[in-house]
Amino acid sequence: MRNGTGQGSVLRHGRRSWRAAAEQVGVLLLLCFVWELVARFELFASQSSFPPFSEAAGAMFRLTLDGDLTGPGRATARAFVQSFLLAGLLGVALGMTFASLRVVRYLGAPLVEFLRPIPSAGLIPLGIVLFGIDDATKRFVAGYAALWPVMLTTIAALSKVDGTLIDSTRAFKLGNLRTLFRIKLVASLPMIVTGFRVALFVSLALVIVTELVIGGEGLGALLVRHEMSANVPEVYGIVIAIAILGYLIHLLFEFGVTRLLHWHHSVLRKAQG
Amino acid sequence: MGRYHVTLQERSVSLSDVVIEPPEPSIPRRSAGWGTAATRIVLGIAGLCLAALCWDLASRNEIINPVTFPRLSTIASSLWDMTVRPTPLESPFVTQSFHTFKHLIVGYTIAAISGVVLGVALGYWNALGSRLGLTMDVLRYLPPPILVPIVILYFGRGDAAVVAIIVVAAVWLILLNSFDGVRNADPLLAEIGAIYRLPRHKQFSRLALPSALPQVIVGLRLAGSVALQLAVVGEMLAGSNGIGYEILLNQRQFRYPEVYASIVVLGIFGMTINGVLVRLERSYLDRRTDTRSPSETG
Repeated sequence: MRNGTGQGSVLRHGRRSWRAAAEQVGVLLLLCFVWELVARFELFASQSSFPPFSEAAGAMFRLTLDGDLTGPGRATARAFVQSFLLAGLLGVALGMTFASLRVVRYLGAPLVEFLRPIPSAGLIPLGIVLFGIDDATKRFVAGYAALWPVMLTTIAALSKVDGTLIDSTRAFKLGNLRTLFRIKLVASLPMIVTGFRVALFVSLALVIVTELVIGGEGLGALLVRHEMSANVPEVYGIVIAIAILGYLIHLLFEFGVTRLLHWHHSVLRKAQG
Repeated sequence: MGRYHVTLQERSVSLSDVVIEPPEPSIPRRSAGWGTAATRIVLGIAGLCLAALCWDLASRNEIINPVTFPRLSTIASSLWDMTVRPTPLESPFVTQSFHTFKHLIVGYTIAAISGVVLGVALGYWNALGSRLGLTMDVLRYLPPPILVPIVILYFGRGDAAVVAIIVVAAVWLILLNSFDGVRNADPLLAEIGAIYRLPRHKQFSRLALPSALPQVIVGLRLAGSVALQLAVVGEMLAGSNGIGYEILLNQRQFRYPEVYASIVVLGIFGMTINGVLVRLERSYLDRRTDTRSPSETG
C-alpha cells in the first residue's frame, strides 16, 4: 500500500517475511544445536539429567510413534478445551452482566476482588475434595484461573465502547438487549479477544499443573510418571511435545482471531505489515 | 526508510480512531444517580454478607454437603486456630506463610534481576533478538509448571527446588516483557539518536531503556502473581513446607475446614502482592509525563 503501488510492495514484503521466517527457524535450530553440544560435552550438567537434544527429540518421536502420547494428549486437550470454553462463556456472560447492571457490579465487586487473587493452583486440593481425581477437577481449577481475565477484559471492553456508537443505537431506537448483543459486544470483541488470549495460556498451564498434582490421565501425569521412573530423555521429550502443542494452539487461536476480526484495524494493520 | 513509512501508517490509523471519538457524549445519558462512593461501599459489604449468608444457610441445611463445604464459622474458627495455636509465632499459619514468603522473595529477586538484564540485552542485540521471534513464541506458550519435573531432576526436593521453579517461571515473563519493551520502542527514537549522533551506549541508556521501562514494569508486576502461583505449585510438588505444602497435606488428612482456611490465606497473600506491585507501578507511571499505555504490545 505504500507508494500507491499496492502489488509491488506486497510482493516485496512477502519475500522479506519469508526470509525473516527462515532466519527465525534457523535461530531455533541453532539453539537446539547449542543444546546438543552443551549436553554432549557435559558443559552444564551430566547427561543423566541433561540429555542432548537429539535424545530428547528421539524420545518424543518414539513416544509419539508408540502411541503413548495419543491418549494422554487427547485427555489434556479435552480438559483444556472444556475449561477454556467454560471460562470463556461464563466470563463473557458474567462480564456482560457486571458491565450492564450497576447493582450487580456494586454487589459483586468486592467478592470478585476477594476471589480473583487466590492462586488457582491452591484450589487443586479443594478440587480433589469436591470432584475426586477426575476431569472435573481440571475443569474447576483451569476454568477458575481462566475466568478472571475473560470476565475483567469483558467488563473493561464494554465500558469503553465508543459513545457515538451508543448514541446512534439510541437514535435507531434499538432495544437495550439488542444494543448489548448486536452493537456493544461486537464493538468490544477486539479487546475481549486479548482476555481470551490470556485465558488460553492460563487454562492450558493450569490443566497441566492439575495433572502434575493429581495424576490420573493426561500429559502432566505422564510427565510425572516418567520423572518418577527416571526416564530423563522422555521427560524432556514430553516437555518438547507440550511446547509444540502450546504453539499449535496459539497458531490456531490467532488464525481464528484473524478470521473473526478481519474488519478491525489491528488485523488489517498486521496484514499490511 | 521503510520502517519510517510503517510508523506513519500506524500513526494515521490511531489518529482516525481519535477523530471518531467525540470528547463528550452528544445525547445526555441517564443521570449517574446513586453512584456515590458510600452506596458502592454499602452495597459491596452487602454483597459479601449475602454470599456468606447463602453459603452458611446452604451448608447448615445440607443443601450442599457440609463435609466438603463446611460452614463459614467452622472455617473461621479453624483459621483462628491456625493463627494462634500453639502460640501466634509458632502457629502453622505464620511458619508456613514465612516459608512461602522466603521462597517468593528469593525467587522473585533472582528472576527480576536476571530477567531484566537478559531481556534488555537480547532486545538491544538486534542481530540475535530480531531472529528470536519463533523461539520466543514457542517458549512463550510453554506452560512454566511443566518445568517442575525437570527442576526436580537438578535440585531434588526442598527449598532450592521451589525457589528454582519460581525463578524459571517468573524469569520468562520478565525477560519476554523487557525484550518486547526494548524491541517495540518507537523506531523514531532510534532515528533521533542517529540524527543527534549519540554514541550507541547513550542511545541505549537515554532512549531505548527509558522507553522500554513501562513494559519492563508491567512484566515485573505480572511476574509477581505468577511467582506466587508457582510457589504454591512448587511447594505442592517439590517442597517440604510452605502454604502449598500445607494445603495439600490438609487435604490428604481430610481436614477440609483447614483446606479452606489455607486458601483464604493464599488469597490474602495474592491480594497483598498484587496490591503492592500495582501501587509501585502506578507511582512510577504517574511520575512519567508520557503515559502511553504499554499494554498494547503485551
